[in-house]
Amino acid sequence: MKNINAPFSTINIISYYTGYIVLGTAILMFIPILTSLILQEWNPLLDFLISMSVSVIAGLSMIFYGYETHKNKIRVEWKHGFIVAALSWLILMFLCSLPYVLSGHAQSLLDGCFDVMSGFTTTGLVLTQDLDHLSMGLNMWRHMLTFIGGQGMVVLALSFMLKNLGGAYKLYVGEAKDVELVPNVIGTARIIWKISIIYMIVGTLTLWICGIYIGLSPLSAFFHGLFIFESAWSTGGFAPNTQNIMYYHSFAYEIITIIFMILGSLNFGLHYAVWQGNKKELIKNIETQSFFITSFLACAFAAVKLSQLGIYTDAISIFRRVVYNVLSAHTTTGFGNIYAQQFISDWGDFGILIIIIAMLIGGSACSTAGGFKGLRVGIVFKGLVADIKKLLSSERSIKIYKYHHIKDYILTDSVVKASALIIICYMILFAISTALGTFLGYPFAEAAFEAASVTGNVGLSIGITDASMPTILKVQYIIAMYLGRLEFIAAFALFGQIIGGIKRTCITSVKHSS
Amino acid sequence: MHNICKTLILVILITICAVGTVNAENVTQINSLVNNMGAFDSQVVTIEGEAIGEAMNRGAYSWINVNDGTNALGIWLKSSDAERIKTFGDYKHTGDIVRISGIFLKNSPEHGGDVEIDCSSLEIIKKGHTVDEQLTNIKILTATLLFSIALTLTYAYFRIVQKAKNTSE
Repeated sequence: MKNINAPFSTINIISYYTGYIVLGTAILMFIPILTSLILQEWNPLLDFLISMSVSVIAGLSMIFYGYETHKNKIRVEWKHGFIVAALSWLILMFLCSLPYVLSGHAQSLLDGCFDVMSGFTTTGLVLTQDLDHLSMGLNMWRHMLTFIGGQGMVVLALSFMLKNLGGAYKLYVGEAKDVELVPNVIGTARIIWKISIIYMIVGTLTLWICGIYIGLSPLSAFFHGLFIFESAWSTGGFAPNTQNIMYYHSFAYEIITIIFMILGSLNFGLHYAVWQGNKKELIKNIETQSFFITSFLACAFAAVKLSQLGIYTDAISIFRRVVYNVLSAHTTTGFGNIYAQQFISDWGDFGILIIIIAMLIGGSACSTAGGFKGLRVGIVFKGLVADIKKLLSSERSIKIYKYHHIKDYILTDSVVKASALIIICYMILFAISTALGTFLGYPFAEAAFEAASVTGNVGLSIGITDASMPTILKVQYIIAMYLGRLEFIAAFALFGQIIGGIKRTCITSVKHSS
Repeated sequence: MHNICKTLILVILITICAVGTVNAENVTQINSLVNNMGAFDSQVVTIEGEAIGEAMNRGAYSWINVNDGTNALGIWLKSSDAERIKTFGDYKHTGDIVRISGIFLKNSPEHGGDVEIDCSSLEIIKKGHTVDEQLTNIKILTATLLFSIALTLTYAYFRIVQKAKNTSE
């Protein structure tokens, strides 16, 4: 393996692997094509044919451009992994938005890109117009995007396309997934997909039966079941109708979605451990402990406050309208069974604050969920407790603090610092998005709510996200969703590479001219 | 005096009729209901919009959802009324346009806090229809052209991969 640091080889490597990820996503367009064909939706069929062709051309062109990488077996470095992951998401955002734009349901390319990024990052905010008349093909695509985004496009490519890849782990980590279920990273990626597919079969079947029971026709119940499962498991929050979960008017349907959104927000490592028979992991794991404590507190506080306000008085209403939405926020799913306006009119400042905190904390690391993750909250909290204990104990006594996450780890200062840094990055992003919202004239609480929703990749809206909102806010929200999902590092590596490239070009041109 | 009484009765009758007409025509937009839930809670309201999705039968009563272009809302109505709606809006259909009157509830105790209208009267204003899907020649041509280029490139890719494999062997 060669390790060439010349800029052209860097571009070749990035181009080669990004090309494969683009190609993999293009091939996935066969599914909506097939859906449109079976359901005789001719316009969507052509839209997807055009989009797939453009994506195949783009993907193959990139592979051809970087083919030297394969021929010379150039080794992938960490920076390449991060840049490939970050760049793939950006290129795919444009390519995957083509069916939206061609369908006429997106008012502009930017709106299409917004919805695709919202899908990929499992956020679930929507700018697509007239959802109730969307073709089944486009609905299939929307929900597929969020499902694939949850597991990760790189994970998908690693699972099925990039065999015998030297730097696979670096690409995998670039997409903010770092759990190693088996020593081989391609094996890990495949296990992630295996877990998701098994849950998909169980979830779709359960929702399908429930859908028929609540009065949907069998075919419609199947598609609704599939779409809602994909959204719940990937903690996405998309739904095929304008009213989101309110469309179904069913407690049973809501209960099933709660189960799958909680399962989706748990770490793939935890799923694998439980599947391997290690059921104690559910109780011992720092992430599940953190999630259950914070979600219990958030639900309890919100329920007490809203019943005090007299908004919801009976237990079923409190569970369906308060607990459901708090869990939806905490798992970063974004399913809603109340209108956005009700957060303003009914929930009050305290209710909104609870939802904001829940959205920012989010689910588990290496899951489909967003937010700054329960693992980091647990580590920082334990680090704080450990520091206090150290201060209170004798200077001569040395105690090692540990935390349990699949296995026992020593709680070092560097681990606490790394977790705290990511939390700080999230808070800065949240502050910037809130500040921009207030600058554009939105009330503080509403701006903060929507900012937490995009930063934590949640998808609950208080009403700001709309096709008529200012362009600059749409762009900011796209950036926030993107950075929040990739957990900053990959995107920073890409920006660094771009800035470095521009700098080098400028220096070279100055040297030539002088 | 007799004439005055007659005039008064006529005026009262006209006023009652006029008020009745205004009430029937007084259609509220769904977004207005959603934005002013407190004011409309437990009031009789009338909405007009397209029946979307499908009716969900729950025994003697059913759920339908109505979208009036500003927002969508759930309607709880008798199943016999729901059966009168023949076309629901989706990709291939424009649904029946219905006028619904009933009590608006911002927190239905019967349905776990659902926002809904408990329908007392349903009127089909306009029948729905199947949407005629139009394909443009430009779209067909673009799809054919791009698909051909993509196929050619795919063929070239497999040739290169095969060649590389043969060389390495």
